Amino acid sequence: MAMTMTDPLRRAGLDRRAFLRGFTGCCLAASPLLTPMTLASAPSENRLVVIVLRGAMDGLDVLRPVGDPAYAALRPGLASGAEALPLDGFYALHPGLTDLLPLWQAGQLGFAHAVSTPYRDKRSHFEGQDILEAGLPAMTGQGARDSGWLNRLAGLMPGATARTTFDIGREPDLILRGPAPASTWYPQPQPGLSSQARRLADMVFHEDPLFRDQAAAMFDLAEEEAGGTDRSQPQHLQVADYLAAQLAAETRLAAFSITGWDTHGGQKVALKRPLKELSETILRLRQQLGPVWDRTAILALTEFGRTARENGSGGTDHGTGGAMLMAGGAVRGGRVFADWPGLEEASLYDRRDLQPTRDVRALAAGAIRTLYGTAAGDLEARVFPGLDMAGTPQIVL
Amino acid sequence: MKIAGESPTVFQPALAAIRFGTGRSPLHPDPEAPAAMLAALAAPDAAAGAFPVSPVEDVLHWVEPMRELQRAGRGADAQRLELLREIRKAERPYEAANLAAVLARGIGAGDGFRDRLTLFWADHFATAGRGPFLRNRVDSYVDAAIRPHVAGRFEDLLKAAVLHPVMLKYLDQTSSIGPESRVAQKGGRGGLNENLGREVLELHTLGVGGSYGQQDVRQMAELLAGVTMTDELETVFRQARAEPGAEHVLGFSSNARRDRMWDVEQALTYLARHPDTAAHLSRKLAVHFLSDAPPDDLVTAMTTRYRETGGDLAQVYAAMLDHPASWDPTLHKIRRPVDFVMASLRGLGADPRALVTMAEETPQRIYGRFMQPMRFMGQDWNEPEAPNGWPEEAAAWVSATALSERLKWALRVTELPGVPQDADPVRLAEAGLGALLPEEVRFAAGAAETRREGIALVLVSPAFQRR
Repeated sequence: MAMTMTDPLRRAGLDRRAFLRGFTGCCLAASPLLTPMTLASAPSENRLVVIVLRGAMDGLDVLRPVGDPAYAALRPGLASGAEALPLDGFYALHPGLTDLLPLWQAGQLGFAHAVSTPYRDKRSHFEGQDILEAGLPAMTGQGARDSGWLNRLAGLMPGATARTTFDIGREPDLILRGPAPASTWYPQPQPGLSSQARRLADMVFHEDPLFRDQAAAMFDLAEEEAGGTDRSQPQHLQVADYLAAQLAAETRLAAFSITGWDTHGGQKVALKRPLKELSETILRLRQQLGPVWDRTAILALTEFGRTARENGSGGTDHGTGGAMLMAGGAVRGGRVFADWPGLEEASLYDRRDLQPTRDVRALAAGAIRTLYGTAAGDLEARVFPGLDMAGTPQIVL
Repeated sequence: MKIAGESPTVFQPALAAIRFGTGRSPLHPDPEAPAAMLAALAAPDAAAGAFPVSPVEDVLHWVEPMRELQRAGRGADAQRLELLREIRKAERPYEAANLAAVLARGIGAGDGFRDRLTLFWADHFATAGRGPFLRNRVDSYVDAAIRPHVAGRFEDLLKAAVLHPVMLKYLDQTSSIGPESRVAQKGGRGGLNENLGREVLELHTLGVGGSYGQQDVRQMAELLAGVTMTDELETVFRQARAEPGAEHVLGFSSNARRDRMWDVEQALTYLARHPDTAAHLSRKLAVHFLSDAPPDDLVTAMTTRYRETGGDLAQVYAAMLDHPASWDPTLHKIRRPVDFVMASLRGLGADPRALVTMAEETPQRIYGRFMQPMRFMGQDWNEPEAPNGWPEEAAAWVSATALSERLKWALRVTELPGVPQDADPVRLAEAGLGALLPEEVRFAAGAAETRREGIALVLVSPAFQRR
């Protein structure tokens, strides 16, 4: 009896390093004991931040194709009111993003329009988000939900550790789910345990791999927590501050979400909050990143666009083609990448939605190739299986 | 994971309480057999009587004062804002009391199967409260539209949930107007809103893999146009908003001459009995209760039973409980935050009436000690991120941050009213896990330096988090 009682405790104590290794990866290159020099030669100095805009952002409202002759008639209510900001004669920016205009002028804010994932027809948020994050043409087949494209990219980066990749949010996002190690964070203080209880906790969690790895990460975060973020600010700014600190250190890939884009009704009011959060987040990152901003590309992606026509509730319903926003010193901003399909009814997808003319995954893949030198073969086979990158414009550096 | 055939897959009482109920309890025995669980489900709902949830009708007395101020026009804007604040202030204690009642039911339940089924179906028909009157009334909706039907026929559950004002408001049905309807023709205002029509097909019945297309979504939305609610929060059909002509949703056709609400109900009955619905719901139940990858023959058995009985849910549960996979001793699923707090207090032998008293005397403590922590554990009570409800995958609930919230809550659980003064970690481990108690958890419970930490370690142990 005494044996079985002391055994697990001793085992847990001895294996603490092994848990951490289990959490951070399998091999020597991933060990937390590595020297800083080795880390410095790790992946790249470039940073990629993906913001998942959950709920389906209305690309036609955020980036308005005011130069299209059919636009005004499709959006009689939404296009009225506060003035949109003219960008290039054809497109105008939603007034909710006014604060980002200086970035556009500095070439640090750009868009792609009439883009989408390969998802069509069912227009389900949840399938649409799964496809966006899994980076696959469809969610059929075993293992489709086992990993996301940003996690598979992390797996291709030489010398990546758990700190190379950060998922910020209350729930782990599919885009970062998978075998490559990643860290998570959410703006909440960590619990305190006595050292004795801490050792017992290692023992209690030890037999269950899912809990063991997350508990190790929880205790690591608790140790470094103290005094980091200013908790009096809104949560999205806490996220931006924390993320900026990580990006300035070891982190190269990160993802988080902004919700609130499912504007079936009262869209003029409903879009205010998510646009404000998006705009403030980007500006705070720029302010906090300093010189690292120049090596940073932010891509804001959504599951699909919304109907070309506004509906009877001053909103829009689930659609197909939409817009991607990109920001950062590393993006080729001040322009809109688009093969514009036109908005007359015959040009619409299903006679209702903006016709997608480019796969948004190809744009992301092109950016990754330039930022990290990832081979096109790896991108088309492993990060985005089944993708054809041919003819993709260069959106970064 | 254990290899099939390696371990016994026969009914186990402790497993029944943990996997299908609200957890083990030092005060209530484990279920004796599947038949006993089904018999309890068929018996009157004693817990609902003991811990009532206040009905939506309680907010009606605010409707008339609000209407008067609306009639008064812009001049009364300031008073209207003041009234809105007053409603919000008065309604929040009801929300706290209703959550306390929901938790108390699970803590004090005989076996808790009905409570778990209610949580499952409330999640299947996920809503959030919208508008000043219904904002805090999701639990009232669940109590009226979901809980009475969890052991009945799915078509009755479907109609009650989809046509409830909380759902109509949440999925924008109250602003959907047929594009060719009289209202649209006359005033030129309004248009169709597809939200409810789409989610009925995608989430509530056929499932996203079901055999429907955009055309069916459109037709379903046109069929529903006219379904809305009155100022008195009653579901009605307004002929003037209806889209003229017959609508066709898969194999169902409405008859333009008939009463339209009758047609809506017929369409929902048709969808409830559709084979895609049988398969979708059977798989979803199996995924929720057993494992993210349930065996195909289990899902087939449940689907067959559903189709044979026209969607008699008690029969579908019986098919699930009859299958050996229900008694696989490996725990694949994670208790969601609401299950976790319920099972924790139940395992400690807490008095459920103390929660109700806490809600009456200090409703803000229900927010601080339950609603807020559950939100940071990943379950924002009555405010799911989207109409597809909470995630099922184990990994979605066990992140470093969510786990840390569970630990923080567990470290303070003994301060809650109703928890026995002499709560003890080892007794909790034995009462909460019974035959499923792992040696290292028993050891940690006994070796902790403080009672508080010992109890927290038992509650956050994987053995207690899993079900």
